[in-house]
Amino acid sequence: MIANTLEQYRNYTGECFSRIKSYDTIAQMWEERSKEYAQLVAIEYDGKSYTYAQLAEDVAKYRTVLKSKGVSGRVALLIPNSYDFVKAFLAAVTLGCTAAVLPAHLDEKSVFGVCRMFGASTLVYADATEGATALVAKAAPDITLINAAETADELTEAADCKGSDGCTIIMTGGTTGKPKGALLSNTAVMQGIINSCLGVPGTFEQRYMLVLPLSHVFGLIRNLLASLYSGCAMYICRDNKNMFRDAATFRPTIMVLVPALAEMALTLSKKFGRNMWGDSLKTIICGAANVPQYLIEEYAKMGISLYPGYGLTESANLVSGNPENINKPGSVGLIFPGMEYKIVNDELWLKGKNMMDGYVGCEEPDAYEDGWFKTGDLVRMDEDGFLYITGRIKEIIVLSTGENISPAELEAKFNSLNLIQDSQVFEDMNDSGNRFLALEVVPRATETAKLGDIDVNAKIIEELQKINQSLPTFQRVAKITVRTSDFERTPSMKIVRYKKCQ
Amino acid sequence: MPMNRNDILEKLKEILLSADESSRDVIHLVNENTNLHTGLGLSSVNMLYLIIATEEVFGIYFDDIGLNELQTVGDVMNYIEGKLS
Repeated sequence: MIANTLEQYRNYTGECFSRIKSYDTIAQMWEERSKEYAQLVAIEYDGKSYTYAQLAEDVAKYRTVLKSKGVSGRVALLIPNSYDFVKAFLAAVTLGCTAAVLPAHLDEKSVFGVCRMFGASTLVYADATEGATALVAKAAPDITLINAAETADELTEAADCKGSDGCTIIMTGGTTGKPKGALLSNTAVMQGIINSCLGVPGTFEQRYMLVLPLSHVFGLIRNLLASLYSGCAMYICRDNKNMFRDAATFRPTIMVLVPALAEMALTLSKKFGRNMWGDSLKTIICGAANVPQYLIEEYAKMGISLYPGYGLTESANLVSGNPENINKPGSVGLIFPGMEYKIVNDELWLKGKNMMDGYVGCEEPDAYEDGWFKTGDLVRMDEDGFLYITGRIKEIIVLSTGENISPAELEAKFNSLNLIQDSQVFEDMNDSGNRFLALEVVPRATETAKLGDIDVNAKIIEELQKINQSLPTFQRVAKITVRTSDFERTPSMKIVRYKKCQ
Repeated sequence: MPMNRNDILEKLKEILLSADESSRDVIHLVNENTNLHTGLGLSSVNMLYLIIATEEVFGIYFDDIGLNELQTVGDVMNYIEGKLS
C-alpha cells in the first residue's frame, strides 16, 4: 500500500506546508537554502555564532581543502559534535563524496576496521579524535588523513551531484546485529529531511539544541539537516552535563531527544520545581526507542508538545510521525506520504525514496524480499492508519538511551576467550526496576581444568572484565554470571534467549 | 557548618530516591562502596541525572571530570567534598 496521508500532514503542518519542497541533492538544497537564510544564525558552538552565509563560506573553503588533497569517493568523518563536523560533512557531501559518519568514541582498531569496511579513501578527524587515527596512519597509507580544522583561502563550488549518488553511510546493527553501514543516497536523505518537517507546526526558523550524536541518523538527519533545511539556528552542546545551563542561555524552542533524555529532564523538573528546559521550549521530537505515553502527557502539562515517531537508519530516519498522538496512546503515528508499506505476518515491510541503497560491509541477503526492506519490527495499524509497534523480530537490544546493542556482536568478543564455551548478553532488571546489560557464560571445562587450584569463577570474571572494560561504555555489561550448566537450547541447539525485559 | 561525609551520602541518597522512588529498599543500602553501574544499574543517562541533580543540590559544577571517572558512590562523594572544601 502507498501511504495516502498527504492531506492529513498538510493539516497538521499548517502554514509551513507550502515552504516544504524537495531537492534532488543535498548540494542543491544547501546552495539554495544557505542563500535564502544567509543572514540568519545557522550554528552556535563554543561561544561563537555562525550565520548561514559564514557557514556556506567555510564549507566552500573546506571543499578546497578536500579537493586540493584529491579527495573523492567515500570520506570517513571521525569528528565529535562540533562546528567542524557540520562544515566537513557539508563540504564532503556537496563535493559529491559519500560521508561515512563514525561514532567519535571508536578506538583505533575500530576506526581502522570501519574505514576498511566502508572503503574510505579519506579519514577526516578532529584534534580530540586524532589518537584514534594512529592505526590508519600506520597501516593504511592509501587512506588520506585530514584535520577537520584545516581551512583554505579559496572557495570551491559545489560539484554537480545526482540524487542517486551516495550521500552518507551510517553505522547500524541492521536486522542481524552485525555491524555495518547503511548507504543512503542524496534522494533518501532529502526525503528523510522532508519527512522530518511534516506534521510539526511552525517547523521553520526555530531554535534547536543538539544533544544527540551526529553519527546517529536521528541526530544527523532529524536534527542537523532538518535544522539547516528549515532556516533554524542550532546550538551544539559541547558536553551534555551542561545541557540545562546551555538551554538557559540559548533558549531552544525545539529539541530532538531519545526518551531516556526526555524522561531525565522531566524528573529533574519535578524535583527542582521548575522546567529545566526553560519556558522557550515548545516542541520535543522523540524517538529512536519506545516512547512511553506518560511522557507525552507530562510534557503537555508543561506546555510542551512531544511528538513520538518511528524510524530506522535504513530509512534515513522517519517512517512515521505522530502529529496529534495524544488521542492515540502508544501509536508511532501515520506513515509519511508516498511511503510504500505492507504488513507481512505482522512484520512491517517498506519501500520508498527514503530507503537505503543497501548495506556496506556486510551482506544481508535476508534484509530484502521482492524489493521490500523487511524492518524486523512487528506492527499493527488501526482503522485510522496509525501505526503501533508490537514487538521486534530482530534480537537487537535498544537501550532507553536509543543506543543499539547487538548481543551477537558482544558475545563474539566474550567467546574469544578460551575459557568460555558459550555466552549470552541480555537486558536484565534489578530489584528497583532499572534495566542494565548482563552477561551469562558457560565455562569451557577442558580449559578451566588447566587452571589448577585457584578460584576458577574469579579468574573467568577477571578475564571477561578485561574485555568488558575495553568496550565503549554503553556496550559494557553491568553484571557477569558464570553458569554451572549449559543454556536452555532450541531443537537446533541455538540458545533460547532470555526476554527478561519484554 | 560544613557538611560531613554522612550528610553528603544522605543527600545523594535523596537524589537517587527522587529519580526512582520504587528503589527505596536498594537505595537505603547504598554506601561509599556501592558501584554506580553494577550496584545501582545506572545508565549513561542516569549518570547525567545524578551529576546534574548533584550540581543543583550542592551548588557545585562537575567541570573537570568525565562521567567515566566516577565508578562508585564514594567517588562522587570525594568529588563533592573536594569542591566544597
